[in-house]
Amino acid sequence: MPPPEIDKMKDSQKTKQQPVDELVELRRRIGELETLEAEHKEAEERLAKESRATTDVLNDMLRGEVDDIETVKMVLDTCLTATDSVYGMIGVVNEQGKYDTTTYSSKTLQDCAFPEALAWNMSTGMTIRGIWGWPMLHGEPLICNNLQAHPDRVGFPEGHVQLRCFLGVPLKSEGEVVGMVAVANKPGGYTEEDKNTLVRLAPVISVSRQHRLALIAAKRTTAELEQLVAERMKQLQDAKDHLEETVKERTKELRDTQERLVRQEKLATLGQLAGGIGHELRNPLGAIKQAAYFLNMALEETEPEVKETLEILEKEVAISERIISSLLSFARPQPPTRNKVNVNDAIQEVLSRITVPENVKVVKQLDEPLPAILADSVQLGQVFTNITLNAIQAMTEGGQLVVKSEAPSPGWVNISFADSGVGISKEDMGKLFEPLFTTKAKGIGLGLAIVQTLVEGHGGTIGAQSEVGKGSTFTIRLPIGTKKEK
Amino acid sequence: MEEKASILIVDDNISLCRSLSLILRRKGYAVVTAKDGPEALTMVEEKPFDIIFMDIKMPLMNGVETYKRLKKIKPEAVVMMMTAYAVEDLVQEALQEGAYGIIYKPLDIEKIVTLIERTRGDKQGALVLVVDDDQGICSTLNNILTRKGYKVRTTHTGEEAIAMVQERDYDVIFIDMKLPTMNGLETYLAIKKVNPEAVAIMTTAYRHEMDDLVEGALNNNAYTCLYKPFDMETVVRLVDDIWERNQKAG
Repeated sequence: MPPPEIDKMKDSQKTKQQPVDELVELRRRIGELETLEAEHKEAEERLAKESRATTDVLNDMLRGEVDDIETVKMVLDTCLTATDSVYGMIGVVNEQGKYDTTTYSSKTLQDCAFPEALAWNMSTGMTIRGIWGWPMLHGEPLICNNLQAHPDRVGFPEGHVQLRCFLGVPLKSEGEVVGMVAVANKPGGYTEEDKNTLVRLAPVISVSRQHRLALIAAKRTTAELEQLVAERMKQLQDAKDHLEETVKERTKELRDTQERLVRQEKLATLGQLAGGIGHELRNPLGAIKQAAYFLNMALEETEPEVKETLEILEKEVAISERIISSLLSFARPQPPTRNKVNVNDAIQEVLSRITVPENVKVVKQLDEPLPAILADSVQLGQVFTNITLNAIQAMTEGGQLVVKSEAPSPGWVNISFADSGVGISKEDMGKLFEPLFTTKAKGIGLGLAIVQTLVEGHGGTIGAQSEVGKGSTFTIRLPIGTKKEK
Repeated sequence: MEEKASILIVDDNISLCRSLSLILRRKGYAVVTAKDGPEALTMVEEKPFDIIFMDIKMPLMNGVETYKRLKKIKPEAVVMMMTAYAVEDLVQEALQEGAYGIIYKPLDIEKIVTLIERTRGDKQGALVLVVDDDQGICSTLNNILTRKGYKVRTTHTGEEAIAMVQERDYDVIFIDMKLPTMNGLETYLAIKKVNPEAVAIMTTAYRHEMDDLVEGALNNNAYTCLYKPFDMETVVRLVDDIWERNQKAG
């Protein structure tokens, strides 16, 4: 069916020339319509392309699949494609009011003769001026197809890409200029259409920029949070470690205290018992001793056997007395009555009083002069005697006892007794100073316990080293004064 | 030959009492025994003894109580306390009251004989100087040591002590660390200058605060340091030891 207009034309055909003109006119109009339709279609396609690109960018951004720079690059690519541009850049106004280029088109980077300068621009910003700065300074888009003629032209530095035409659109956020998207060198120059395209894309870049800022903020916040969390975790871990340490320490302290208490209680009970028995025995023992003494006096000239028996009696009484006095000195240790004591003299005196078996050789290595110490000479004598007697008893097969004195550090005197006797087994070492611990057939196991009490009463320490079959060394460390260590 | 000393032994332990009296009699002394405090008091009322050995732990009346009553009858009696037990408080009390000394069982017979002989000597004991601003300490030491036959002089200040030392030698000098003007160490050092042979026993109630001064004195050859309250047994033993040593040396 022909259009009604043509019918009308047919009807009004009166002259030959008239219809031809009408036909030409009709064709012209059809042509116009076709052109319009094509333009319309082209515009639609362009919009669809922009929209697709924008949607893609937005989607990618929203999905978080691209980082901020990537996003801006994609937007720039869209802008370049949409405007048939060769070069392009997107950037923001930084805190100093300079233009920070976020990204350049890859062609720009390729053609630029001084990429270092671009990198520099990207990091410290460019002063906003000239034609390129115009959109930002005026807050309006600018098309400039004849750069040479523009009044704001400042010229290009050497090496700059050769620009023929320029289109810049400011990026705005809440009415304020925050940056610019610019493209250049579209073949044939830029049109209003290109400007509109870029104006339409500008908000996407702004969104991208906001997104970027938000992302940076978020990243910073995330990083801060992560750091905070890490710090807190570390603090927690530290606190936990500290707590564990403290608990461990406390537990150990508690156990030590408990052990000490048990030991003290044991000692106290033992002390009471020892004291009680010791005192109770002193009366009958006194009577025996006096009886023996009297008999010895009365039987001055008597048979040798009687004399011998009396001697046995007196000797055993003396031993009993010694046991009792060690029981008592353990049960009720006396605080030291301090004098200035020469340790070497004290050692000499003890060694001269003790009967050393012939198969034991005593070697004295006494350092002279030794600083005098403030100590109870009687108690020191008891300490040295007990250790020397132990050493001799450990060397029933004979051997050598090395008694050494020295002042290795200021304020202290060390005395060591090293024997070449049977030695002490590892398991016995731990119990060495415990009262009632003994490996000897004779003795009640108070000797070293008393020694330790007396040495500690002087603010000193005693330690032992031993190897089975090789011998033992006891080392006593005594302070010269009464000052506590530390 | 001088007449042998008369001795009273008071002890509820019959074996001990009997064997000691047998020994001492054989050594020539006139010995009687009492099995408890009341019996001892009766005997003391009847006649004086040169020395009395008194056990502390006894039934009816303990040795210290007995001694206190005995002192009322014979204030000048020389009483040596004996014990087998740890009766610290009673020992201190007895010594404060003026008992001659304390010996522990089993007794050392040789020492007993020495002791008896000493109490019978010409009673010329050590000359003791007590330097202490506490009047109580001065009189306690005075009482105890005087009973033992020692002569005691007391003073409250270091300055006076130095002046006294300049006039004559003392066998033992007790010096309190904390004196009103010059302290014990200064006093001691000044006395040492006057008499380098002086034997000094430093005394203090401040076990730790005075440590530096005490050490200063001990390092300058002070004999020892005693902490208040005094263990009377140690006081007596120290003075006896120093006196005996001086006797031997002199």
